[in-house]
Amino acid sequence: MRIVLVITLIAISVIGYRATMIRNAALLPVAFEHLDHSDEACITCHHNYIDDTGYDSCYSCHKHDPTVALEIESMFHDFCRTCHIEKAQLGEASGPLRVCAECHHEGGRRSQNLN
Amino acid sequence: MTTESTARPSDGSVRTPSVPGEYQLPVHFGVVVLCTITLPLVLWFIYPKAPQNGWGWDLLMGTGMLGAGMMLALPLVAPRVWVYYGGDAQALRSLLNLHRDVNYAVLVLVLIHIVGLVVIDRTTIEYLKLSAPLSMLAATVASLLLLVITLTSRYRTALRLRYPSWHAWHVGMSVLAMTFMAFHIVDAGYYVNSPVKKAVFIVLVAGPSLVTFGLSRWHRKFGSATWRGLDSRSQPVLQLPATRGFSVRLVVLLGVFWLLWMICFSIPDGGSRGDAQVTLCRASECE
Ligand code: HEC
Ligand code: HEC
Ligand code: HEC
Ligand code: HEC
Repeated sequence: MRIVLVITLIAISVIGYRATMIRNAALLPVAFEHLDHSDEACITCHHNYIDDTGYDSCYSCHKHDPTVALEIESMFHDFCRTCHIEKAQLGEASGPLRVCAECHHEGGRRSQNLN
Repeated sequence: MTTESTARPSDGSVRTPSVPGEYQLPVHFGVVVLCTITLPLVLWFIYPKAPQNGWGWDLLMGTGMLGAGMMLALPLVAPRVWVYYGGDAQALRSLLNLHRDVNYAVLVLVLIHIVGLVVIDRTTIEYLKLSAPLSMLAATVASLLLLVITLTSRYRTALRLRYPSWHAWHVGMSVLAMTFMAFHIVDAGYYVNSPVKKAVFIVLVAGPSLVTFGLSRWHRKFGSATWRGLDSRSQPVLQLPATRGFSVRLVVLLGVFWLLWMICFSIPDGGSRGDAQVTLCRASECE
């Protein structure tokens, strides 16, 4: 079955190419504000303060650490949106749930404070 | 008009007599089709209900859901299977029209779903790339398959595809497309957001295809007359006219129904976003 072989080869190269594409994808801007999250404990998010993953900023470590680099999208989306959705379902104030631009935009107070 | 409608097939079974040019569909079957189309939208608003994301976003998600529902209904109106259960060649044309028009409606809805999202939120372009998460890649593959299926069916004779192999590919690609579509919705997991809903949805995806598959097996095993459920003499029937216009009108009607449904049931959720409403602004303009 030559066609099976061809399809397998194509599939393998597509999977490999996809991995490099994810690694090379530019970080999207995120308008995260600590002020909106002052009710949460630091380590809810800054897990690296207590486990031994190291010291860096979230995004740059997650983008470059090879163990998690391929999952940056799913890890952060699950993490950020799940909390927001839970709050929204309780009828409390919440952050963005799905609409990309609510998170992925430049600006916001952060850029005034930190940059 | 041919006399086929009253002729008996060589296996001696009695076919449902039908008016030439019309296809008789049992009413309960019509109800099954309509339920299949609307159930993804029903799943949306039952507990635990997904919070709102703004009207633009939610309506575009709704087009996706309606598209999914219509896609699920396609195997139910597959003329190839229903040919065994009544209707002359002329009458089956009406079913074929339905199959076609529902498919075109699915294509249009999927297109609106994709283009609309990119228009209202440019970041979604990221999900059309190869680096997108698997659930989104699955959707892209499903849409492309849908396009290939449509083109190879519309231009089957022009492309000189022989019927048997075309049919095998048609079934194979359709099953794949539906599987990818289901993965897209279940893995994104926003509207189909609990284990129960996921289970129901998967049953919903597999159900219509299994019914169609079962019917064709049944026919092969027992012949056409044995399946009494569709004998029009014993129950009320819907008359489907064979004209193109009819199914187009039906699809448009469904669209209107969908809009009302979305506005009344699926979208409103009592504003659970609280006071955290979006303010899209640059740092300098924000206060
Ligand atoms: C809801 C999750 C969350 C909570 C709670 C949180 N942070 Fe953060 N923090 C982040 C994220 C995400 C970033 C990266 C923001 C960015 O770079 O735009 C960040 C960045 C930082 C930075 C800058 C790090 C760097 O190198 O860029 C510091 C310092 C920091 N946080 C301290 C704290 C402290 C102290 C607390 C507790 C009072 C806290 N954070 C609570 C999510 C959180
Ligand atoms: C120095 C590197 C580093 C920094 C800084 C870092 N992480 Fe991580 N993070 C990791 C690694 C490595 C893992 C995977 C190992 C694990 O699961 O413990 C991980 C896992 C996670 C997970 C998934 C946990 C799970 O159970 O699946 C989340 C969510 C996460 N990080 C969020 C953050 C956030 C938010 C920040 C910043 C506030 C942050 N990380 C900062 C390295 C880092
Ligand atoms: C533990 C819960 C929790 C986590 C984790 C969390 N958030 Fe939030 N977020 C909130 C809450 C609660 C609010 C609403 C604050 C308010 O408006 O009072 C919020 C608000 C926001 C807002 C502001 C929305 C607006 O309308 O101004 C943004 C942006 C945001 N979050 C981004 C993020 C990002 C990015 C992450 C992941 C790195 C994240 N959040 C993780 C709870 C969380
Ligand atoms: C709750 C906030 C939030 C929302 C809403 C959100 N994202 Fe993200 N997204 C993040 C965070 C945080 C990261 C990780 C940091 C980064 O990429 O800058 C991320 C990462 C990504 C990445 C990976 C970037 C990379 O470098 O590989 C993609 C792609 C992405 N998001 C696309 C989207 C799309 C498309 C949507 C809308 C459907 C969306 N996001 C909605 C918070 C969000």
